Amino acid sequence: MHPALWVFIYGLITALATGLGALPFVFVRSVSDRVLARANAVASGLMLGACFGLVSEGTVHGRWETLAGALGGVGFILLTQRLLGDEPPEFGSFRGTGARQMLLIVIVMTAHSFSEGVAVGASFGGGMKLALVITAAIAVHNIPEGIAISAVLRPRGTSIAGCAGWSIFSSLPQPLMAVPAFLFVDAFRPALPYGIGFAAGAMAFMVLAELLPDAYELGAPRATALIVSTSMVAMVLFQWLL
Amino acid sequence: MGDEAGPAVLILAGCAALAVLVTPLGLLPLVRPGGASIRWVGWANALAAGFMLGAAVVLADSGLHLDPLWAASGASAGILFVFWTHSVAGSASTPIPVGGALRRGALHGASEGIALGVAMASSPALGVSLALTLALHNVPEAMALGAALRGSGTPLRRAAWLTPAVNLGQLLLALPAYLLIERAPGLHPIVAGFAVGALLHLVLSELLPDSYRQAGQTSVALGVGVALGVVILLGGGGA
Repeated sequence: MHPALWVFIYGLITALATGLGALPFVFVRSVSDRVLARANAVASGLMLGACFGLVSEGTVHGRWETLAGALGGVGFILLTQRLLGDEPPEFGSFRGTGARQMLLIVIVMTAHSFSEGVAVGASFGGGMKLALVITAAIAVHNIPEGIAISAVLRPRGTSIAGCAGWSIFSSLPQPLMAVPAFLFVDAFRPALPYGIGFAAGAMAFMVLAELLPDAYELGAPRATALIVSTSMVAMVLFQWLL
Repeated sequence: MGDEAGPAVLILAGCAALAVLVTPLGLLPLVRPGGASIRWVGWANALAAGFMLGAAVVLADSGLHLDPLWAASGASAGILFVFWTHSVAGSASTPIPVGGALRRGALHGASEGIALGVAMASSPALGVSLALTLALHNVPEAMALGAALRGSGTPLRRAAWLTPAVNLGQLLLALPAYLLIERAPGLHPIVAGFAVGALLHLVLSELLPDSYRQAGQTSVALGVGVALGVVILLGGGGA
């Protein structure tokens, strides 16, 4: 089998792992404001924690490039917000503010998977052992990302299958980007800090501008802050120990 | 590092003192109403939140490199400490009596002081920028405290020395925290973790909700993003 096909299969495995993030929400049925606020807070904390990791990884590859990418990511979300703001957005059968946030989180998480796909593909250039470690690491690290997506989709009425499906969808750029990144490693490497920065900027801005204000409004700010900061620390530790 | 400790302590003391001394500027709107719009307060809060988040990233990196588990335990302790200070003294978003406001300010200044000392021990550039951030953050804080004090009939003159006095904890705890890490580097991960947790929880429970109310979400998040970028470049991130 061509090595590129293996890279694709490994990338696909990491994408499928994201779907596991929907599992904890099998038990979440009620959609009270409190549940919504807490789910928002968990998603915010996990995403901000992921930004920590992205930023420190990006700066290893290049600080200015990471910053440029981050500003690009912020601009991208601003633009998306403006485009969505003109007419009530639709997400499947959903409409209104909820739909806007659902659409945004899927867009943001999908956009951020591109650079993860590049990381998977590029790692295969460093030997099979390294590649396996990185694939496993990204697969495991995708699970909380699936949780973050499901935490936004589920309380707004998406089915479990829908949550898993959209989680996997958000990671599909991983197998798709891994193959070209593997075949043309040298061409892709310089773009990596920009991609990582873009992902961090887009995620942080999406959290701060969309998810957190809602969480503050629907739940008590103190409890929200506690959930966000602890899930952030948990995510950072999780990624660090991986 | 031993040779640099002398001047670094002086710089730290100077910066921390500056941050405390600018505090009464927050009382100016009481003297001349209409001088500062609430929007500007929101922007100052948002910038301070951004700088604090950035400092937290840099400090977390330094702690995690040394010992991830101790750093995370320190962070949990920092989060719980600030959470606890809010439960004894009320959080910023709820109107509270003057005594509560003073207590909260003092406890608050204490955790900020620890963060400042750790930042200085990690890198002088980070320490100085965090001190300037605290200065930026103290002014709107004094504005809120001043309004509460005046509302309860405290004379302006008394408010003018009470507001910086409340923030003295920043100066008083920054120096011991700095010296502790200099003398016992083994404690670095846990103290840095504590500072990270305290900064994160302060930003999330006070600065961000305040700035949303005062200046609107998109502008604030943009300010936070830009400030975060500045600190990453300054502090060095993962490098």
